[in-house]
Amino acid sequence: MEIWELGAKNIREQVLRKEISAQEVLDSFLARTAEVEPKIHAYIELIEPQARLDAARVDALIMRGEDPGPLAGLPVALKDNLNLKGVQCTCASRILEGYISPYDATAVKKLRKAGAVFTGKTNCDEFAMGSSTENSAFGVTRNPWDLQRVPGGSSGGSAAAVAAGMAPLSLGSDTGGSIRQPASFTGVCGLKPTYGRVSRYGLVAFGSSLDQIGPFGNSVWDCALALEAIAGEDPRDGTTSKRPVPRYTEGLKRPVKGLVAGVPREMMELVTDPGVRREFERALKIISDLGVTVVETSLPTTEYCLDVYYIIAPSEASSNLARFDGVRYGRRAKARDLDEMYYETRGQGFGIEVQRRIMLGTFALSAGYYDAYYLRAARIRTLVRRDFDKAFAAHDVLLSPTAPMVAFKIGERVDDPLAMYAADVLTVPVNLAGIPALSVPCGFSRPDESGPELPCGLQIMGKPYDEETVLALGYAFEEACSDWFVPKTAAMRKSLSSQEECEVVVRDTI
Amino acid sequence: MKIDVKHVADLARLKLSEDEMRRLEKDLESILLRMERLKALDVEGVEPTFGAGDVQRLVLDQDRPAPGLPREEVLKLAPSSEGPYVSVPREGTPGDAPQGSE
Repeated sequence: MEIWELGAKNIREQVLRKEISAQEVLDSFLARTAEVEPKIHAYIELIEPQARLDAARVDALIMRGEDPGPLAGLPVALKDNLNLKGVQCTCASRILEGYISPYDATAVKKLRKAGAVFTGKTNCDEFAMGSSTENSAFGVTRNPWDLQRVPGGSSGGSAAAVAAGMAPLSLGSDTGGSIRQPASFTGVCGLKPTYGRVSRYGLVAFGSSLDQIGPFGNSVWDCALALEAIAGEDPRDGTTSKRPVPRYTEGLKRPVKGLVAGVPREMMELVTDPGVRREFERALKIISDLGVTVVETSLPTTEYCLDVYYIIAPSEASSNLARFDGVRYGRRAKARDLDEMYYETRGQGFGIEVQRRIMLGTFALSAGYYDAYYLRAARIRTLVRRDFDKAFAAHDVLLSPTAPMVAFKIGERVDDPLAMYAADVLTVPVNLAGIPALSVPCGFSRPDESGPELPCGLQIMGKPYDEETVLALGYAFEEACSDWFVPKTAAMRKSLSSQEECEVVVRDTI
Repeated sequence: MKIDVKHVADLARLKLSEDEMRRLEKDLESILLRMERLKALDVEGVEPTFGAGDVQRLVLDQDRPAPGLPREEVLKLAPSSEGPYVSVPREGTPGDAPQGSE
């Protein structure tokens, strides 16, 4: 077995026992990356020289008998909307061409301190706006389970890198499902923490009241380890919580027997793929066998969440993206005067989906429409929060499929914004409420009779700051499924090696 | 729902081609049409939510002066600079030679 196949937990332990070095770990993942990256295109940029320095630093600490930190040399891939000092940060947009981060995001800084080795910056939808990673100026990332399909989005590169075995851990950002939905589409675990749990400093802002950084891993344990490293108060982000950060890895074996889980019936009505529904129902059976009481519940505003989200997120985005004007960094278009510079830089620099959302948000905030759109959406958001508060008064967690469908084909939805937005219908309510949610693989559906099986995810939603219960249930569920899930992932990875390389497809509207 | 795309693009400082303008107009109208559903909900007297989680308190920064990023590093990121300043094309003087990084 190669090192990259061992799993984060084993790798870390072997490094700490000095059985393997951080440099050997990195070599193994880099070799795996060289083999499969030409098929997947998960990365915008690989940073091998810096990664080697990081690994050597970890090894030096271990040699001196010092604590290298809990990650102990584990490679981590970063979504390209997170600032990593000295490395280009593009947000998959042409408008940030040539921008080299002058500082580390807080989550990045904390991971570095925890002993992480950064492998590179992963592909995503431009400024995290999209559900398929097709809206990237650097081309489409492919789903390791079927190269003709999308990995989900917007953090599709981070999800695909972990799924394909190119990195044991990665970070993404989740504004409306951008961690959980790609985790579901690629058969890995993805966690969106409570709003305020992880500092957003150094994450390029999209929807500031919704954005949250979170990890992808091959297991719930891996996500718990990463969350432990990145969570906590940060004076540079006034929305971070002062609450102490629990030892999430130690809480995983908490008993789940006796928990009460609610399944919102309005969410089930939105599931379009019968295979996803079947696998979710099977997951519920496994969860009840664990001693959890599973009952139906209600979140009456569910059907409005997508609309509320697609007013609030673009409104915040239209304001946040005003800073990309060609003045201080990134690309500047040729222009005769200042106004023309703004118009041309933004007209040429942003792709169609980003322009669509800037337009939508600008409209919703404009004089004469603010009350009818933005303010109304913000009021309905209060109703959404009340629904969740009420549901959590009677249940410890809420359960749903992560996405209403499995990974769709490249090109299938990208020209129809409403069809694309529909992929987020089960994840956006969580961001509106600010609660934590985990996507953990729960089964496979085969949408094409002749095509391959595609993974689908179980979404476990928790009370604010109760990541521990969410993770504990995810961990117990995963234990109950590992005998059939893990071999399928191994088989997918093996078959990936024999697949042909794929060309990089850049859409012309990007 | 009719939307004045040209006006919104001006507010957002976006230069769009006629084709892009038409496409966005069609997209935005179909999105806004779907959003009409929101009008069915009674939100009379409901306070709006602008934040999330238990972060309803806004923590203000201490506002103590502290060193920022080194000026030369920040200037290196700018498409154009002169001495200690970021430089931009002059305002509203059509006819000047084009400036910029490309």
